Amino acid sequence: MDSINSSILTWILLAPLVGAVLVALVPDRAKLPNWIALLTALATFGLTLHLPAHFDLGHGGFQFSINLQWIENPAIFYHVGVDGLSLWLVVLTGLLAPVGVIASWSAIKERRKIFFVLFLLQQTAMFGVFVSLDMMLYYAFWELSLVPMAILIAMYGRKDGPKVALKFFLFTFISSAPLLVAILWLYSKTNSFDFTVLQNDIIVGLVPAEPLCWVSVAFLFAFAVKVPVFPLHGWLADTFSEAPVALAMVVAGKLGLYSMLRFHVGLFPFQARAAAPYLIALAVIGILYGACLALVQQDFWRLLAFAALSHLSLITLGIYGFTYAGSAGAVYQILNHGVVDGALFVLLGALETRYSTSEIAAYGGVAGKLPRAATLFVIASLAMIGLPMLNSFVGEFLILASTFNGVSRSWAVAAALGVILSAAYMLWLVQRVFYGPESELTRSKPAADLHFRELAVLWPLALLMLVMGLAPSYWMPFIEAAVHPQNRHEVRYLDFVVTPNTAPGGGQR
Amino acid sequence: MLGPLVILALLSICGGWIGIKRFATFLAPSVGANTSDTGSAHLEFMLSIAAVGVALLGWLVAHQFYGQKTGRPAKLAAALPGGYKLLANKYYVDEFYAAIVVKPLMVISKFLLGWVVDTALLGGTAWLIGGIATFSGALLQRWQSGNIRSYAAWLAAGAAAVILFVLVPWATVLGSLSAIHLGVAGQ
Repeated sequence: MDSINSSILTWILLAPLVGAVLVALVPDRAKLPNWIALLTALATFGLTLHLPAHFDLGHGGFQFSINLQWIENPAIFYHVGVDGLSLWLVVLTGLLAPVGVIASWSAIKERRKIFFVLFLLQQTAMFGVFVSLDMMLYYAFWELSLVPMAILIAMYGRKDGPKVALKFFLFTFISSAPLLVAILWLYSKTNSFDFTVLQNDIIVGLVPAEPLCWVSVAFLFAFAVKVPVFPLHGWLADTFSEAPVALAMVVAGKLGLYSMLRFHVGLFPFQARAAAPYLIALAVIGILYGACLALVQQDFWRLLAFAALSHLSLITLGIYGFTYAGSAGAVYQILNHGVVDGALFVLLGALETRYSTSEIAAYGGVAGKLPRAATLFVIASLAMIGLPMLNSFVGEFLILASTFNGVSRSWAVAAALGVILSAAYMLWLVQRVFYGPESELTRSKPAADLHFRELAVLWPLALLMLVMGLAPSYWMPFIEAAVHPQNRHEVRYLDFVVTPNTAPGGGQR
Repeated sequence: MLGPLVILALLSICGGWIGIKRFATFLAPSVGANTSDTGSAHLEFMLSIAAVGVALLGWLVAHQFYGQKTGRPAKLAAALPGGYKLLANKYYVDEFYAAIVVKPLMVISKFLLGWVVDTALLGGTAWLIGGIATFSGALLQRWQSGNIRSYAAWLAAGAAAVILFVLVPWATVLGSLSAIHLGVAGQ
């Protein structure tokens, strides 16, 4: 078992690559690329499940670590490992891979080989971002995660692919250039790219403080564009409406939010603390702004994009509130958002393949024709709204309650308005698409209800929403161990523990 | 439909009794215990009596109007047309809410946030930054003329610039320049 534990992360990183090579080698016949991609995705997901099964909760730092020298000078290491923060994100990425393959099954009709090769490459890149503990390695995976995305948007865009791909590429690449400079600057001061070494050196003051402020801003900027944080969301709506469903469901959120927690808050606690008031303000603006714009969108992909802006801003609020319950809620909410958005993307993608439009006004009365799709869509919508017993309730509640008690009551009240608006736009979307009189389109176009393979991914996701809502205690210990003040270097060193009278109840336990 | 309604009706009677202690504290781990003061048992009892009394009164009136003296509602409506209209339109709460909250929110979202902020301001900024890149690229590409003589001229100019940079004692020059500028050259 030890040998598996000490190599599992390498296998997880390699599995999608092997699948990509296989897809590239087989002929494009009889859905062969689809099947190989599906089997690869399932096998990789199986590998990721090894992590929670053998994760030692009592152990503080990184587990399943591998630290091998890759390049001697400059000292770049193949250093990977997971802790409670990244563990479930790796599993989530593994889970969404088969979902993505199924969502592309009949939507991608031509050049399937290239699609699935790039799709699997994207999987490796995302796993790499979550497990890398060497900044250079991390940066390589971070950039790699942008390339297949941009190419696939350009190739499979619905109307304006190449233009939107360029927009996505410019937004994300330009913002990650300062990140590289910042990483190199840190190397020049510390002679190390290693996350733990850097974290320690920065905290004990080996790195001059004044330039460090700019370095932290460079980190934050790259992550804030990728999340996205208001007002850097210019690429999001276009990308959601152009990217293939399998890619759009992973493009926003988790990579940027995880990076914020690990590499901005984790490496630069002082600077992150100083930036927190601005980020809290931007997050609350983003929550309300995204929700208001979601209300008036006429295209369901764009609606989903602004809804995502709103929900991701709420997670940003949890991260920069610097409370224990807020951080735990933020990490849990990243997982919830991945699951719920994954399901919504598959469902809206299924509608679009059947009716060839994403214009909300063209729909109406679909529930009569596609009752299973309607059922699942309502479940996913309620989960997104944060209905108690479904998963988002737990995360949103932790974030809002900790903001109310530990950060600022007025910001918390404003953020809670966003939750109300999210119920408004989601339920209104359900009403306009699935209920009411049948529209011309739904009446004239014959469409089959969800297939077996679509149901095979959607019901498990719906079940997961329920289980994660009812039993968060299964996931929470892993997350709490990672964000608990006693296990966070920055908090321990800098006495960031929120004082009891302002702390949320979670902090007092 | 009768089955679900029976279940709900039963729950509506006894749902409030189930484990009052348990439900009152289940959020305590997150929000802290004892967040609100409860009223006295006497107040609680009086309020329940009042609530049940109002419900019973409503039932009685409905029973009178629609079960026994069925002609009475129409007569009442004819006698008080204004009041009837107000009640029939549910005190115009929906209309009021739409005019005060929904309409302004939708208009502000669509025009101010959607058009002005998102499209014009933020989209415009992104477009401007992209435009600067395109524009400077368009200018700089003229440099790549493919003309050997022009390249040679640029090479010579560049070499001259380098020589100038190396040979000129910049510290002295800048020092004397600033001295002239400050009007203390004659010291």
